[in-house]
Amino acid sequence: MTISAVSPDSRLERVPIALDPRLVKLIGDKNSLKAIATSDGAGVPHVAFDPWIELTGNSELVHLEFHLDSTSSRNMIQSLWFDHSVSIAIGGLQGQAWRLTGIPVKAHVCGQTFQHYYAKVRDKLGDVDLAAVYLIRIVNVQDESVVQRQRQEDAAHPFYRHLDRLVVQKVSRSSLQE
Amino acid sequence: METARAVEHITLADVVAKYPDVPRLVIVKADVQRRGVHYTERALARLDLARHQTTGTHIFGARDGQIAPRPESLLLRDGTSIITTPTPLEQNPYLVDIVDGKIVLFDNDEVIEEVEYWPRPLYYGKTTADGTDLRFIVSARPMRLSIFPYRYCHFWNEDQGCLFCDIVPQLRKAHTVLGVPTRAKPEQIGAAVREALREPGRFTGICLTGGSVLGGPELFDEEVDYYIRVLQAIGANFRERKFQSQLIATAFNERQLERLWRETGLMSYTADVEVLDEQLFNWICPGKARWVGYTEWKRRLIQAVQIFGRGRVDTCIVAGVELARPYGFTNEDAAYVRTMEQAEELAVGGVGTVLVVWCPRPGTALVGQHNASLDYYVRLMQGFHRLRQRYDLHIEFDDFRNCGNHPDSDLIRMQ
Repeated sequence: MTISAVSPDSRLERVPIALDPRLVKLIGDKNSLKAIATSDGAGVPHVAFDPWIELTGNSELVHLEFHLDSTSSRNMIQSLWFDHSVSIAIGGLQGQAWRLTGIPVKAHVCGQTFQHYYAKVRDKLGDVDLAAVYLIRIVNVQDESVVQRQRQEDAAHPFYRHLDRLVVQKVSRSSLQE
Repeated sequence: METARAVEHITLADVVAKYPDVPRLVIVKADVQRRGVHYTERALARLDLARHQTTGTHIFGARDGQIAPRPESLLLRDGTSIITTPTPLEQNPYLVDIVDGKIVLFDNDEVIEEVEYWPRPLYYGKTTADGTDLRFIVSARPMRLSIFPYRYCHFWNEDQGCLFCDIVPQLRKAHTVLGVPTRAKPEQIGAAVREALREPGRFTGICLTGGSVLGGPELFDEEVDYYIRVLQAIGANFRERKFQSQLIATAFNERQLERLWRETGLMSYTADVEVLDEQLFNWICPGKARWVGYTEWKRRLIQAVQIFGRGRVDTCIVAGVELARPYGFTNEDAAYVRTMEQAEELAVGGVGTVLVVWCPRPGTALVGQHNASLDYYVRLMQGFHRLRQRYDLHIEFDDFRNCGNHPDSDLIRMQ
């Protein structure tokens, strides 16, 4: 058996993407807003608040599916099965906004990891169930805060700008009053 | 004429490419079940008896005929199980090996998928008051408790066991080597279930199955009486009268089914027809044919829907056995058409059909034969899934969590 025959795109490869420390901090902030968007086989979108999202040590996202018979749950397993992307939005109270694109790569439905989250959600919410703990491999990160996105768009698409933003401010308001 | 063997050259990748709407992982599962697995020494060294389940508890044997402790089965990364057994290398099984520190399925110098061994439940290792290992009273799948209250089948008394089945040889082996009891006491089972349920977040269903028992005032009454006592002992653990449960048993008559529904917490019922063709049923399942009959078996299934409800009754086929020599179909297309036609008749009556992949094992009358092509299994998976969608049969009691042995019912996750 030759292990070297394993191709570079081996199904075991999970190279973590380097994340901005500000994003890492925001994901861990209990006051941040989090949502996940999925789609079904026909492309119909579905978005849901997802306050339980957290990061693993391997820079993968943890997403909890509470109900097996939910649109989100069906979409997640289809994404895992057919390598479809999901989109996650993380927002902060100071205008921070990040958009992450990822692919579900693992569904824990039993075992230590599952039981850890099962106990955690029941501790917090009472008598609720848990269907699956998904791991999402992050494949793209975008800083979506308005100021940051504006800088990017101004640089990449100068024709999109309003000209008044470019007018030289030679005379101060105070000098006009004089 | 296309035969079962003629399409063997088609690879996993070919089949995955041919069926883009069927999840690759589900096709992988079916193919691993079809071909079996061989654990390398490295893979066996990774087996941790404190963390993983090992073989020996099941009612059926392994394809290599051994009873030595090996991993009970495998989990894929989508959370579904591959229920399979160690298989001799000359039968070309998938290898389970270690690559980059991970347990993987390996075939033709290629990593196919990362897998996990089944996690060992907390109650394993505990014993009953008389010293019997609890796992021999109630065994575990990743999310299901499996109970084999009576491991003998009376059809074997007159050499009329099903031709693909090794229940009695396996019982003799397990009893001699491991001390597995033939018959468990209902109160032992109830206590074992209680112990298992101390582990939060582990189990979502309970399945009972065993051999057919002919005795009683009316045929199979003894079997029904025993299951009722077992189910009542299990039910004493729950605050609700009905609890998630499946009984896989002989096709009982209406009176017996009514008793099971009325006197226990049972929520679903399965009577395995094994093969969907009357002539083949008579050959492959001589005991079932003699004591119940093909037409009556199907009629009883449909009657059970009146009692347990739509989507709460199903039947299983040992897919591929319809191609067994010398009397089986010689053509997969013809076998497919006949099977789907019969499955649709059952679906119209509210009965779902699922499949297990036939694995010719030692101790069975059909040992040495071959199962069907992967292409055939994928067609059946799609066919059964479409029937369930068309007739709104949501058989969640037999899905990837509450069973895990039916690649076709894994597709319910998209339904």
